[in-house]
Amino acid sequence: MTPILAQFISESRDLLETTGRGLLQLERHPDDSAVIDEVFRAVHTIKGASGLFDFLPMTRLVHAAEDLLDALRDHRLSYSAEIGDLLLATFDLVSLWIDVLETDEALPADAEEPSQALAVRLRALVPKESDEEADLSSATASAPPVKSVAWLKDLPESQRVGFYLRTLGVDAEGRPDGEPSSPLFGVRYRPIRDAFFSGEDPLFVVCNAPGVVGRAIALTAPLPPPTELDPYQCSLDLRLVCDSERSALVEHFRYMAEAVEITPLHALDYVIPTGTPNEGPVYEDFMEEAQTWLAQNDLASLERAAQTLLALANPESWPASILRWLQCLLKTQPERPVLQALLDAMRTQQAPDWIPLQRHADEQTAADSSARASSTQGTVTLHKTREVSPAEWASFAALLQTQLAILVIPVEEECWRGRILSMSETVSNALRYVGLVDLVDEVAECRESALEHKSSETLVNLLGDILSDIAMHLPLEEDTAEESTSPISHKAEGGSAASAADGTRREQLIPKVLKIDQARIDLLMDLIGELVVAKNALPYLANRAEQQFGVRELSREIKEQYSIVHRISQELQGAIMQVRMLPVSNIFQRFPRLVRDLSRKLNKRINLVVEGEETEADKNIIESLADPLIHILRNSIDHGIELPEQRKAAGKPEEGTIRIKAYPDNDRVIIDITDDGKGIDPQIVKLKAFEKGLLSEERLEAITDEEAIQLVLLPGFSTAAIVSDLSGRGVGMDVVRQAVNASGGSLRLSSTLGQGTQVKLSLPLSMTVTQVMGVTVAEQRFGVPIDVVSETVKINPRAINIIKHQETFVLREQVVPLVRLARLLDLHENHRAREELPVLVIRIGEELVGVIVDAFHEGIEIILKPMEGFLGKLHGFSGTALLGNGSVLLVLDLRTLVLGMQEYTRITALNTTT
Amino acid sequence: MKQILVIDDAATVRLYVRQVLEAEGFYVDEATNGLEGLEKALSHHFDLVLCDVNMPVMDGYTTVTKFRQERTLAHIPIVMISTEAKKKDANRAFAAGANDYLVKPVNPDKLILEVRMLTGEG
Repeated sequence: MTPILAQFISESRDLLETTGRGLLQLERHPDDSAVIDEVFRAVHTIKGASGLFDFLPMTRLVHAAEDLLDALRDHRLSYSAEIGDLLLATFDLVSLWIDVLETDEALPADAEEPSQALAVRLRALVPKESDEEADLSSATASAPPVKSVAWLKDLPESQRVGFYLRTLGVDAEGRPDGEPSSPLFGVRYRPIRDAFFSGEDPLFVVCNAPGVVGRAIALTAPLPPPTELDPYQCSLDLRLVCDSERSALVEHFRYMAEAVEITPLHALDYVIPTGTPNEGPVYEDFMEEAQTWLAQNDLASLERAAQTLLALANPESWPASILRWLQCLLKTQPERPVLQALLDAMRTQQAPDWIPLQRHADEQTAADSSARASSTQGTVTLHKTREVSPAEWASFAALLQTQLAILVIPVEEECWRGRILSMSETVSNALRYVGLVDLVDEVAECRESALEHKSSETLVNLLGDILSDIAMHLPLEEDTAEESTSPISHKAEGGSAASAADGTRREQLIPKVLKIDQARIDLLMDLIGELVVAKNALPYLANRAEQQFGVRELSREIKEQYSIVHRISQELQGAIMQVRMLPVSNIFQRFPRLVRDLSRKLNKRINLVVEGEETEADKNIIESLADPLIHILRNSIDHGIELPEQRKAAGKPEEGTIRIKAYPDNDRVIIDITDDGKGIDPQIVKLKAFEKGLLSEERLEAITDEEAIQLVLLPGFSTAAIVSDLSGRGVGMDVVRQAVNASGGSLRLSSTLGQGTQVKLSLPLSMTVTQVMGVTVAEQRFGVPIDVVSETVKINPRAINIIKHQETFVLREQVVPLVRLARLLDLHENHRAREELPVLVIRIGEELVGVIVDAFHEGIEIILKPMEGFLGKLHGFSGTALLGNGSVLLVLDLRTLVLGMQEYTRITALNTTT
Repeated sequence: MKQILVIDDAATVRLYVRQVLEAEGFYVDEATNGLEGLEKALSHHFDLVLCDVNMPVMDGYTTVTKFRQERTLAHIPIVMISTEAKKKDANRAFAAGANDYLVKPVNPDKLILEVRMLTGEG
């Protein structure tokens, strides 16, 4: 991908975001001119940049949207929901195209149709300007964009020679042969891809076209391999040369006008060399001589040499083709620029570009051909120092005329001096460019006199004189027209070596923001992870040094060194993590649109309030959050917020509010989603849980409302079937909880019937390096993520009480249920009598649970690798990690283990009894 | 080496102009809005300014007028480059002080010719 395209894609994405956000703001405040301005500018920039590429459907569509926004900006039109919808649809499509551009570097093949359709709808909304001004392009008599007729090369050369002679009205020897005929028309017909299904019959249409004299056929794109070929798609590029009136052709192709280009053909259009490349020294000799003859106007010698060479050349070759055309042109149209261009083609191996010469040449043949050519040569009255092409003269003249035109435009007093100065600078530079250096001094004199007399008269006169002096250099006026827009050419990809020398200035150009491929950052992150683990081997080494080899001194040094490496790696890790931090606005910004679209569909009125968008978290965390958050929001919109009339009846404002708030809390990020909807009805939840068999009848009576609400989070609680009649929420909340847990976060749900629901997510800032605590059970070591461990205590076995068949102990006057990890894992239990039992106190939702283990160990930093393959289906394990001594540690997912369904109900039931 | 200042808020356009002109041996510096451009021009020498019309902070017309009023910048040729092809837009640019007006997208050959012509780099 070229850097420019990459830049375009990334810039457009930013701008589309601005646009999307602005359009949603407009919906609330349709008169906010600052927002309209912002959106307009963003769209304007996209349009401008897209014009650099050959993305016509995109440019057209964005242009239409820009015009509509312009009308809004000028108050020629006022904002309506219809406009908003259409603009949103437009930029959705553009976003889609940008995505395609990233992978294919081209717009999708079917971009044309939706672009047309949307553009037409956008344009229909724009009121017509009363004093519509002509485009500059037409005002300055520019030609319509020139359609390439390079495809004529597909016709046989002999046929093209025939057309060429016929157009000029001469025979092969250059003798007049009847009147020059009206031009033939080139018809290029590229049926749409679905042509075979839309009632178009390309072959029939082409066969019956009026006055067909030449035909060629090609493919719009190379055919894909047969396995991917779709033979029902039309990929034909049909070309015709027709001897007919334009009106007859337009009429014939009227049903497929967009797919057809009809171009009048000039004589030179047929002059396209073809053939195999063949470069030999002999042609270089010829080229040199030819240049001389051409300069001396010795066309006879040139013709002789061409004939000799042609006899020797391979008739299939490129040079032979050029020589044949050369002979033909020498007999019929012997003009220097034309011959020169043809000779140049010998070297460049590229067909000459006749467009600049075209009208010029036609004109000259119509008149007496030689007279004017010689007069052009004789006009060296001005002291030129270099060859200046007609196109350059034209630009020069246009520039001077522009300066003259500028002088009649009124100007503010204080700018007048600047105008004269910059104008004379411009003219002087242009004079230098075309080699009229002598006149530069005159410009300077006139400038001084103008400044002195406060009158531009002398300058005007000088410009007028120069213009009339150079008139004979100018090609016919039409050629000064702007050239057709073209995509970026190879020129754009040149090097920048020339400016490298200017080092000091260059430094300022280094951008302040670096955009880095995520893969590179990920690699850094992986490497720092490895480093952290490798570093963990040092304490083992230190221990071995001391215990196995008895070198205590060395052991101490290793430990010292370890602490240094530890500190550096922590800083490094922090720094890299910083790079990966993104503001949560990256996902939050999708929400306004979601809320808008959904609430409209459901006829609800919802105000979304977003706070703390700037809060940052690791990119992976942010991304893993998107789906759960959308899920939660959907629930709020779908089931939480009531219809306006229901809200009114309940004494609430008709417009519901959903508030999303993000804020940092130590090394965690909290995201809080609150709505003021109807809340969750614990009675209905209990009933559903009972029906689902998640709750026994006695528990049903026992649990509190708050606990009942938590049931929503249980796997298996919600299915599509209950969504419709469950008036609270519950659509896949277990899925949400799992996703949040997977990224190391936790979720809390609370709800008050009739007042609303709150979901609170707590997430780690980063999830690369995990702190785990080592525990031993049945002589096996496991890891437990430290963030689930609330505290560790050691209890006397006698302190265990049995309440309702459940072991418990009292922690700070609170009864805490106990579970034995060995039992959870179905491992051998340690029955030896012990003085005290190590207990991990973990927090599950609001409740504490004690987990009895055999021993605790120190906390370690590990890189957690999720279980994959068959093991991936195992519940109760977060993953594995490689330890410094090379062994593998299984990391437990204690929450899932403890929250086995029966356990859960037992615990909740128990808590209610305390 | 002739020094060109490109003032445009679109990074794509700036990159495009830079690539085209650097390949031709010009030195190119960039500014993302009129104010930034004006400040750059006050501290560095430029032979030509290419200026967009629609920009945040300070639009193209204001920028060009400021150039014309500034003693040390008044003489610098300025080409305004806009997506608007209407005559009235061109005239507004000229009234503000531009020396020439091009319509986006500018094809590379045209851009090169324009820059060569206005800097006298034959």
